[in-house]
Amino acid sequence: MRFITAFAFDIKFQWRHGFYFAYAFVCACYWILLNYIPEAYLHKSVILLTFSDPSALGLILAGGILLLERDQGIHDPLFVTPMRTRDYLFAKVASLSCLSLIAAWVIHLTSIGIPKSPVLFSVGVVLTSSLMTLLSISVVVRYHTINGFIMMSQVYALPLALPLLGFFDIWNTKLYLLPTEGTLLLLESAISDLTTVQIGYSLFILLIWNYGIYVWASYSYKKYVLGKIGEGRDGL
Amino acid sequence: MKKYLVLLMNDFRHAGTDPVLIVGFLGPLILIILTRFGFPMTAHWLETSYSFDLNPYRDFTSALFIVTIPMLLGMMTGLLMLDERDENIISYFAVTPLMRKGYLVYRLILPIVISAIWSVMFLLYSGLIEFHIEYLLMLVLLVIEAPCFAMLVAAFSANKVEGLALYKIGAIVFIAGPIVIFFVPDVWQWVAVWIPTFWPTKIFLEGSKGETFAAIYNFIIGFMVHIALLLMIIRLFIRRAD
Repeated sequence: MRFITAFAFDIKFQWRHGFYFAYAFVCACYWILLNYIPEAYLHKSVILLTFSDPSALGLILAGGILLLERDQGIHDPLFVTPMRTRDYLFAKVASLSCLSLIAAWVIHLTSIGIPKSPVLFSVGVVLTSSLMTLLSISVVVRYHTINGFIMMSQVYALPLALPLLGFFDIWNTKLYLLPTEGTLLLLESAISDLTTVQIGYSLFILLIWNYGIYVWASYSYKKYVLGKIGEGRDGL
Repeated sequence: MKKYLVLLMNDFRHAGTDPVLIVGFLGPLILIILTRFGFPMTAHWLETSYSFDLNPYRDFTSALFIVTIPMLLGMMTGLLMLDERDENIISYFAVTPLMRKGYLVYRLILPIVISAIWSVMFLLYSGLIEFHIEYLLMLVLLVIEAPCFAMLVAAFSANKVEGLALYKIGAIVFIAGPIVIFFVPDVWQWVAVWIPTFWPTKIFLEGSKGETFAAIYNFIIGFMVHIALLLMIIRLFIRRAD
């Protein structure tokens, strides 16, 4: 119940602050852009756009939300209630994943059509979005300014973009230890069939990374946000 | 002047913790290096892997990257101003001898200066552009775009979260300028005259073709559009801050 309440509040918050409007605009622009991409490059372009934007939107947005909440002193009263860190983090992850999923589907439907494997495609988007959101929270609690956070979030996320080199055949080595290798496979399920091993690997690597980053986010949040409650904004 | 120097020194001191200046210097530098060395490599790779010739898009790539420099600096400044407004720092400045106007002047001059330096460096060292005198007109418009973008984010957003959403939209709109100039047929291009980056890109293209008169003509219109936009957004920001 606490999770549902926090989730509903987060969705309303994101709606009120124009996230859905912004992504409607972004999707419209991608739709126009993809209309001009030649057929031969269309599939790779759609996967690249889905990978770099809807899937990763939590990376910047989650951090911005947390910084604002901290400025407004929301965390102090929030955790006087029965709300637990787990509910708080899951609500952020779930609400931003909803936006990611809607945007990814709109981009696909308007360019290629219904993904060949809708479930795997959706799972790929959601697990990547949750990973990026949790990474964002882990990083943002250590910084006080939005610019500082944006810069550092890019530094942390940069290695996760490395599998794109293999995706574009720039090098042939697969980086199987990185979760985004699994993301790209699941996103490709929208246009081609995956083997059972590929599906198993993708789900395994994304789930393991999600769990690891969740533990880090939870620890960081407790240490840098909850640990400072009561010190006032100056203490944060 | 002394009060601005004090602020500048303060910003330099805090550059490590609030990295607007670091990004302001490093971002464009990385862009120049990537363009100089990355463009030929990418062109070669696309040619061999996909039989796609990137060279006809050399001017488009240059225009796209050069408008990114003021946009990057403007975004960082706009988000910094939102941070300062969320923390009520702007209100504190308003009651110091600097006053709100001084604060705005200081915050907007810095991205103008840094944009000017890096845009010139990009023109000279990106390896993609052959210099034409008309490009100086383009530079004037480009440096006005940094404060335009900063104020756009700061004036239309109630807080930093809205600023991030707006940045997303603003970045696409700004990038649309070069795309329209290079890929949209003649008559339809005029639909995009309200996009600031439309004008410097148009001058860039005309400069590369040696059409000096057209470049001057478009500079005059573009300059008026930029100044009108900047003044309108500044007025909105001040009203919002009140």
